[in-house]
Amino acid sequence: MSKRYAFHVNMALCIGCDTCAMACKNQYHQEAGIVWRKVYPVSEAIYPHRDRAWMSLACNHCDNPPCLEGCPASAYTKRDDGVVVHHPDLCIGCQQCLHTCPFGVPQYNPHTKKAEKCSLCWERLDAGLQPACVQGCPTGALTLVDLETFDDPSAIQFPPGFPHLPEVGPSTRFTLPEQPKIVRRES
Amino acid sequence: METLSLPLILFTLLTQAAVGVAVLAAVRQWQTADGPQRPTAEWGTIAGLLVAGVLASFFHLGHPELVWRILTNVGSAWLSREILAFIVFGALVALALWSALRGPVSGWLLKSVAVVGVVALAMMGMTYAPTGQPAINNIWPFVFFMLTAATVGSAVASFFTPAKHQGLLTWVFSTGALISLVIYLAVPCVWLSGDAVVAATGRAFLSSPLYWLYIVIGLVVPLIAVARTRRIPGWLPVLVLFGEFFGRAAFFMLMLTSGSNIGNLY
Repeated sequence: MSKRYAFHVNMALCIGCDTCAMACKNQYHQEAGIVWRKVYPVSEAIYPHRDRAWMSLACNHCDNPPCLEGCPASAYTKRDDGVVVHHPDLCIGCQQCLHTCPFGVPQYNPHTKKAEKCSLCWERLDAGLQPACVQGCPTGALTLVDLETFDDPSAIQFPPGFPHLPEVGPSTRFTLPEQPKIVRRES
Repeated sequence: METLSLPLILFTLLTQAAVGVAVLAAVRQWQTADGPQRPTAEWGTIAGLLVAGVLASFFHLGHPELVWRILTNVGSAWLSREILAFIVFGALVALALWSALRGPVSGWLLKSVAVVGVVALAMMGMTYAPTGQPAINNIWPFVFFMLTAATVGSAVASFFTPAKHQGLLTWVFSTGALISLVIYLAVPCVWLSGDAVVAATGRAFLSSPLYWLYIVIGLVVPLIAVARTRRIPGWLPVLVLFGEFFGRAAFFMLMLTSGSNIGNLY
């Protein structure tokens, strides 16, 4: 059976430390101002507690990637394992993917004058390694899963605070943050 | 919030103006048998607008030397289809110009140019209706672009038509500008009742000087001028182009993407 790789973001475990984003930066040395992975704070309107909740996001390697469909230069391809790959040598720098992606993933690099985005570290995957961000996460909140076998019933595709676009089919799965518990002493 | 992309503004404005003038050239011949006084100058202007727009678009590309690759995804990319349609449109305009140099332009050629021009604008409308920008992930871009073609096209076409024969152009311009005014005032207000991103886009428009400059300079002042003079004054096309420039800048700069709201309620 073919694999279908995806990120699983366990918001109950994420502490918003940005190590995943730093690990990505450390792996690829993007230009200043360009981030392939970003840790978004979840607003209090969604999670109204003293604790904070976070969403670590990079490319969602969608089932129907708008970047791939909208790219006029065929600079995007999708591998059999679900990874959406951007090919810089084919990119003409038209920035159409920046407009079509509903998750704001592709970034324009003013130095190379091309778009770029998370590759799910496909070179590392092919070498039997984990993506840099997954390897760097100190709490185990960010993991790589195979959606063909992943059957965590608590994982959802569209948590509050994430664009609800079933037709696009983002592959990232989320486990929601836990509700705070109040422990009272019996008097 | 997007950055100002001058090449994209010029590309869309000038190509839409070219389509507008070409469609009106066809309509005039078909509807009134009252062709332009200087067909060579008119078709030369259409070709000039198209070439200037396409040249401007090259400055938007990070790697214009690879521009040929823009046609490699016609199967699914609206931008590829748009460019293909404009290539066909350009070829037909060149044929019409060549024909105008030798005599009257044939009816079938005029109709072909008009149809292909509208198809190209439809493709352009789809290109700028991306999934990531929910406020315009619909038919609005096509409507906006057609209205620009009607107003700028009729204004520019007035250069080639004597004042006594400007009845049709004046009607097209004033009707197009009036419909534009209603739509451009109503759409941001409708956006206010949309989801979080669409509503924020509506607020961004209503509080933007660019948007109001377009409304006043591109629509209200020209409408008053046409209502008073009952024709298209010679200075009006320049004013309309300036106004449309502000409107197009607002279109590109103020459209918010879904990704800008991650972590918040949608």
